[in-house]
Amino acid sequence: MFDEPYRWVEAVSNRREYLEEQLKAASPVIALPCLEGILLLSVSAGTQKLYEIYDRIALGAMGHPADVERLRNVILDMAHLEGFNRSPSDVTARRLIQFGLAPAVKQAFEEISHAPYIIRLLIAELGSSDQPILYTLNYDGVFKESHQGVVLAAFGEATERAEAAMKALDDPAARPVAAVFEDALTLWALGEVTEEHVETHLKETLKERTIEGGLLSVSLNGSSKYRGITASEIKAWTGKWSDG
Amino acid sequence: MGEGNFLNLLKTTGYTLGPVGLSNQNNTLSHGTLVTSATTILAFKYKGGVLVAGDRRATAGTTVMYDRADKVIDIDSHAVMAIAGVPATAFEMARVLEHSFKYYRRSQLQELSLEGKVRALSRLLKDNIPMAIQGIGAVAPIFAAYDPKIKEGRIYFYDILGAEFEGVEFATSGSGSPGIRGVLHYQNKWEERPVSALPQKEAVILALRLLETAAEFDAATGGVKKSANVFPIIKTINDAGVQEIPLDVLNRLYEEQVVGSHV
Repeated sequence: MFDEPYRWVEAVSNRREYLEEQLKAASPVIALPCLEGILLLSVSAGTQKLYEIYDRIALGAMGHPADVERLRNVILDMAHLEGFNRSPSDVTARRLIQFGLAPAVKQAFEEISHAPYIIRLLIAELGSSDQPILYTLNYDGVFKESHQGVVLAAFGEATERAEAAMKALDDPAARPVAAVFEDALTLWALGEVTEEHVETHLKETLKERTIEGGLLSVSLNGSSKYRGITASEIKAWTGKWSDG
Repeated sequence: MGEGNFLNLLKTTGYTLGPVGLSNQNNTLSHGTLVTSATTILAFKYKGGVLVAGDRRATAGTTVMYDRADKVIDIDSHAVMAIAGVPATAFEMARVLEHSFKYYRRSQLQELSLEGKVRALSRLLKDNIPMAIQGIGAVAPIFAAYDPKIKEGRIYFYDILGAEFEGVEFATSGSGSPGIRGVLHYQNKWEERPVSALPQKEAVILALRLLETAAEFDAATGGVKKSANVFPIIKTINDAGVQEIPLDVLNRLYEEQVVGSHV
């Protein structure tokens, strides 16, 4: 069926359309540097989207929960075996993406007789000098590195809108997490609606959906630097959008 | 995938805990090399939680191999393992445990229960039985952790075959432990206050004195070497997590409360 090259190219193209369609309803994921480290934020209707992966590494995911779970397990195993057999300092986001996830995701994308991963992933790492290192991985295996902040959104226009707003932010790395949380939530909303609808959208979101936050914090004692943002912190930091 | 068992994951890569197939007598490998071993470790409940302490000496036969060994190892934010026995095996067990608890939490999205943690160490010891009965890999650890269910610290000790026991008030292990076990029993039974009623400062003083006592009668237990700034490792565990008593505090309490007594 796919013997002729053009048929294969067409099938891959169809698959891209299919994946973009599947991801349309996915909730954006935001990562921003802050004074304490790296803040991750998303909003869900119940399914967890932010995960601790290793001592200084966290994952944010949008897409099909079963696919996210499969890939999460792949990098959990890879990270822990590497950390045990070599050293925790040898476990880096770059190695996990470049040698672990990206080849597997690309292969699944191009093997058109099998189902692709319906995902977009964000991997955040507190570097060895506590600098933020961020990676995004697309369903086709393409990955990018950033140090300023990352927006994962469902479609290109929303991503561009939120990224433009992110670039205009007053240096988040120099501000405390409480302040950056508000920015991240606004960017999340821009990943779903246009600027004029942000306020209304956030008010509705706070009533109906669950805000999820994670922090890779340089100040946490011990080797594990990830913690979830607590419900009371979220309540305190989202007061301007809640009715009571 | 999905069970959160790091040891099983490790075994899929061909991992085994320690070398196999060695034969031995009297802490020597078959070609006569002495195996490094250790120690005195102790744990007791005090007013503010659980205190765990260990001396710093590692010996091979009559040779002191190392005088700065850290035998009280953080396993996670609320648990420590104190090691007595062969350091090579004990440190490896601590590394496996640390990774196991983290792997479970991260893969299963919840903390492993205290019972699960206690049993995980028991399983490692059972896996190590062939080494233990050959006399070159025996480990008799103490595991202490904060139990969020009952909101207090708990102490467990093990034999080298993996049997686990809960120390209601205290536990000791290692070659220097028999003497101080009696002291702790005496303190609990006849002193004005049981160990569990001591405030932290007095608990630390007691731990320093116990380890000095053990070092006095056991050559495999190292005493304080003030000139080289070598003090026991002493850690406390409570709801705030594991905390190490700083060196300057140990130095001061040792100077004020341990040296200069009668003899």
